[in-house]
Amino acid sequence: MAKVELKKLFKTYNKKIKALEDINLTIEDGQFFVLLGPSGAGKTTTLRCIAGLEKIDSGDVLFDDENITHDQPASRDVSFVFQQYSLYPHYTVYENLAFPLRSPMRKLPEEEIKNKVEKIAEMLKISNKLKNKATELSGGEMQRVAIGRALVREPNIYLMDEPLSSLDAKLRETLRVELKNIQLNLNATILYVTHDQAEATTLADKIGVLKEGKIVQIGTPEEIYENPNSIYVSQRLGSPKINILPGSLFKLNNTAKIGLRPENIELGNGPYEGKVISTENLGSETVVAINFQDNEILASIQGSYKSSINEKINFDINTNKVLKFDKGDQRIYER
Amino acid sequence: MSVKKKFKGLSDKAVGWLFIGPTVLLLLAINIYPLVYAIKMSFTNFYANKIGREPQFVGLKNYIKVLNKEAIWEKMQVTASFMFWTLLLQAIIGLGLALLLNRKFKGNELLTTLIVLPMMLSPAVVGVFWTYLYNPQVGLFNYVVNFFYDLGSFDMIGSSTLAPWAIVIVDTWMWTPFTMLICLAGLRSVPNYLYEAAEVDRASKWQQFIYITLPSVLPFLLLALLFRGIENFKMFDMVVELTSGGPGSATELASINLKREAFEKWKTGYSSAFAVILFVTIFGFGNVYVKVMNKIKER
Repeated sequence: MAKVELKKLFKTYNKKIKALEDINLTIEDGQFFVLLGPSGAGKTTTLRCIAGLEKIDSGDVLFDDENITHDQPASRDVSFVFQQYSLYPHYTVYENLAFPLRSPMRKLPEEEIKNKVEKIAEMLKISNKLKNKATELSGGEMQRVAIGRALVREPNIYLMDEPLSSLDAKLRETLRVELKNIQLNLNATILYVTHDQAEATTLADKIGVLKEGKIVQIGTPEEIYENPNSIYVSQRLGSPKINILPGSLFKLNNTAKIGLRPENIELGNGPYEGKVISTENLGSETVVAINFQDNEILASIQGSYKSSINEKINFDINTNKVLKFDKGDQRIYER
Repeated sequence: MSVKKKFKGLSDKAVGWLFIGPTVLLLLAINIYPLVYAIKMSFTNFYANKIGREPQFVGLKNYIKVLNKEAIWEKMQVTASFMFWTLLLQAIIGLGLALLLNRKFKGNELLTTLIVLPMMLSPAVVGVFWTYLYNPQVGLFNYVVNFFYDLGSFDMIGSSTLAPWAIVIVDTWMWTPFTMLICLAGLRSVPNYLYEAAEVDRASKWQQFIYITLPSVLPFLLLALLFRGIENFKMFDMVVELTSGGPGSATELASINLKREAFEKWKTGYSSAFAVILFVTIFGFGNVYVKVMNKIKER
């Protein structure tokens, strides 16, 4: 595994569409780095530039301080899990998993290939499917094979492009846990792209938030959640999502807007009075939507919470946890 | 419901029959009826030029005569060798051209159109103008060959050793674009991400071809060869114009021989039996081939 650095990366498509602008980031050896952002933010492009599948306009890609910007994909030795199941359709699961090991740049003996394939199949619980054709698998199995094909070798870095996005919720959760365990066991360097905040927070050692081709903040999941530097970043994490409200609402001076996480609102008593719009019981918590001076505020309460619609409700906010933003939606830091 | 009831139109099934009806009638009239008629004739000693003579039932006599005739087996051999070489060359060159044209370059579309042109010509016309190209004195073909390698004077059509190659070359020239087009369709159906995955997996270009390109394009190629095989088994017009089966009977394909027996010697019953044998052969081969092809597709 290697340390991967991107320095001042620029990339445009068709000389017009700006895909990446001044991307700088460092993925340490053994780090699970997650790129988070909505579609079109440049996540996949970043991965493809590291893999060498896209030519970059300017900037450098470094593996362990070695500049590989102009190397071919094959000589970079990275492995890539694509968003679509990119299995070789005419071959069995075994052949698919063995394919990267059969590269002329590797030349492993057949015995070793067999061992490695069986080991990885066991890890991903697809041992009983090795003889199946790639097209005879369910979606979840296909993606396991695709992940297996990436994990079967020890490249400089594993690049994963929303590998779980096409799976159903339950499978996604299971594979997410497995993936984290595998990463810890192998001490693997992974750059993982997602727009799913649950994946980002559970998997990442570090998160990089992308917006329109630029990295707007890099930090641990906790930092991104608790200390976002803009409204955009604050909205990336958290469910139910953060309340963005006018600063005047709570008489805060010099503040255009504030961000208030739903869990930082206490219901029952307090100086503010609103009306209940709806309640949503999620089992472990209840999300209450409140109309406060024509603003909708979401509050989340531990356990269940009984109230009826249009009922008057008093609440208080945890002022220490209020995030303040200026007119440009940037964070105002307090001294 | 009420709206539907107002219009008492044709049922879906009736409309379906209305659409395919004309085609079915046409097929019955010009394909099925002659086939049945030929099968009936093959059991008689019918001569189409002897008007007024009632054909008599002769049982399997015609079939026995055809199968025992050594010359027939020679024609079959000529046909088989013609088919083997044309299919082989068209497969290799067609796939090769398709691979080249599948790359992105300027003028790609124009070049494809140009390559496809021979296929759009009438086979009889192709036969006629290749006789000029093959002309030993003024033909372009001999000139070009001698330009690269001096063979002296040779006559592609006049020599019984070269004439079989002459028809193979013309058929390949004319129909390679067909295999190429179908292979190209196959190549275009391969998603690009497979090649990207293979590239990241550090596969060589050769491995990419063997693992991804070939298995994807093979069903298409086999389908093209099936069409070409059936066509070439009954190849007639182009070869007749080019060599009329000669010199001697060096290029006399089964179909040419059949035409001579039926419409020059007027042995209608006998040639009907021959035609039925050819039909059964190609039908049998075709069916086996399709089964094999489907197996490969499933793989």
